[in-house]
Amino acid sequence: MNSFGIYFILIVIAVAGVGALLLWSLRPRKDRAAAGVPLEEIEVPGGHATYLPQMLQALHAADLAFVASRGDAALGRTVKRERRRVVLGYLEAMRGDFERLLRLARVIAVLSPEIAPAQEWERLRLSIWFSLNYFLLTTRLRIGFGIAAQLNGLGLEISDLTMRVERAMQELGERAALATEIASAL
Amino acid sequence: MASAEKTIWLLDLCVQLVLLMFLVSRREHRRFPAFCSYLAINLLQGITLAALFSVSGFVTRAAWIMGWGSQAVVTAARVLAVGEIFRHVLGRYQGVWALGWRLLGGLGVLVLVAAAGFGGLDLRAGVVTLDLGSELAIAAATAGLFAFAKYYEVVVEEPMRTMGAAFCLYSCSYVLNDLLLKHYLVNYQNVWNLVGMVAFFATVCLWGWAFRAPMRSETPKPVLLQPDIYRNLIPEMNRSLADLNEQLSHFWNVRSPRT
Repeated sequence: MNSFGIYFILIVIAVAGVGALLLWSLRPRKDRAAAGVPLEEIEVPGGHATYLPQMLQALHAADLAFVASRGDAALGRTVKRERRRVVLGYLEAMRGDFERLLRLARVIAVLSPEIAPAQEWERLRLSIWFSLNYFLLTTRLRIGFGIAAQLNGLGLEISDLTMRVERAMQELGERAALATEIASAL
Repeated sequence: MASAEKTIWLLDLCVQLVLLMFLVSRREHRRFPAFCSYLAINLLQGITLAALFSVSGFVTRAAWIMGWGSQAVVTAARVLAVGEIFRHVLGRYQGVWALGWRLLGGLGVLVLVAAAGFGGLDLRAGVVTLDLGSELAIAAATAGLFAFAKYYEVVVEEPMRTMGAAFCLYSCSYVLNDLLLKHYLVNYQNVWNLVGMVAFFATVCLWGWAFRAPMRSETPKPVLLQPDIYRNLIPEMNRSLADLNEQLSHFWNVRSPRT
C-alpha cells in the first residue's frame, strides 16, 4: 500500500472516530444522573467497603472443599452458585459506591472556580481503570472462574486496606452536608 | 456551472440569507456575534466567487487564489463560531472552562498538525491538505466538547446542541469530500463542488432548526463554591477512589483454578 493509501485510511478512521464520539456524547444518559435525581438523595459512599474480608472468604477454596467433603456434589455446586451471586452483588454495590463518589467529585469540579488538571486526569484514569477491572472481574466470575480463593499473606494487607477505606469513607460521610449545599447551588 | 449546481448554489445563498435575517430580527446576533459574522462572510464569499467565476472561469490562477484565499477566511470565521459555542456551553463554569478550552484547543491543533504532517504539503495538494486538516480539527474539537460536557454532566442546551452537532457533521463531510478531491484532483472537482454545496445546505437547515424555539432568557450563572473546597476535597476523594480501585484489584490476587 502506498503512503496515500495509508493516509486515506487514517483519515477515514479519524472521521469515523469523531462521528462515533459525537453520537455517544449526544446520546442521553441512562443512569441516575440523567434521570434528574437530586444530589441530596445520593448517599455518601460507605458500607460496602467493609465487607471485603467476607467476600474474599466467600471465594476461599478451603470453604468449598469443606462443603464438598461434608455434603454431595450438588450441595457444592449450589454453594458455589450462591457465593458467586453474592460476590457479584458485592461488586455491583462497590461500583455504585465508586460512581456516586465520582459524580460528587465531578459536580464539585464543575462548581469550582479553579481546578487542577492533574487531579482531573487522575480521576479519569481511575474511573477508566475501575470500569475495565470491574468488567473483567464480573466476566470472569460469570463464566465460572475465580470461585476458589488463596488468601495466604493477604489477611494483614486487607485489614489495613479496609481500615484506610473506612477512614476515608467516614471523612466523606462527615461531608454529607456538603452534597446538600452543592445541590442547592446547582 | 451546471444547472444542478446553480440551483443548489442559489438555494444555499437563499437559506443562508433567510437564516441571517431571522437571527438578526430576533436579536440573536448579540448572543451569537461570531456565528452571524460567519454566515455573513460565507454569503459574501459565495457572491464574490460566483461573480469572479462567471467572468474568468474556474481554472484560472486568479480564481484558484481567490477561491482558496477566501476559504481560509471562511474557515477562520468558522473556528470563531465554534469557539462561541464552546463558550456558551462551558463558559458559565469557570474552572471547567479554563481546562476545557485549553484541552480542546490543544486537541484541534494536534489534529491539524498530524493531518497536515501525514498528508504532505506539496504546492498543489497542500492547500487541500490544510483545508482538510483544519476541518478535521474543528470536527474533533466539537465532538470533544460534547464528550467533555457529558463527562462533567454539563447540560448542553439548544440551540448550542444542534448547532454544534451540525458544525461537526459538516466538517466530517467536508473532510471526506476533500479526501476524495485530494485523491482524484481534477476528475473529482465538479462532484466535489456539488457534494460540498449539498452538505452545506443540509447544515444551514439544521442551524435553522436549532433556532426554531423562541429565545429563552439566559440560564442564570451557577453559584460557584469556594476554591479551597476543591483543593481540600478532591485529592481526598481521588484517594478514596484509588482505595476502592485497589480493593477491586485484590480480587485478582484470588487464585482461580478450574473447579
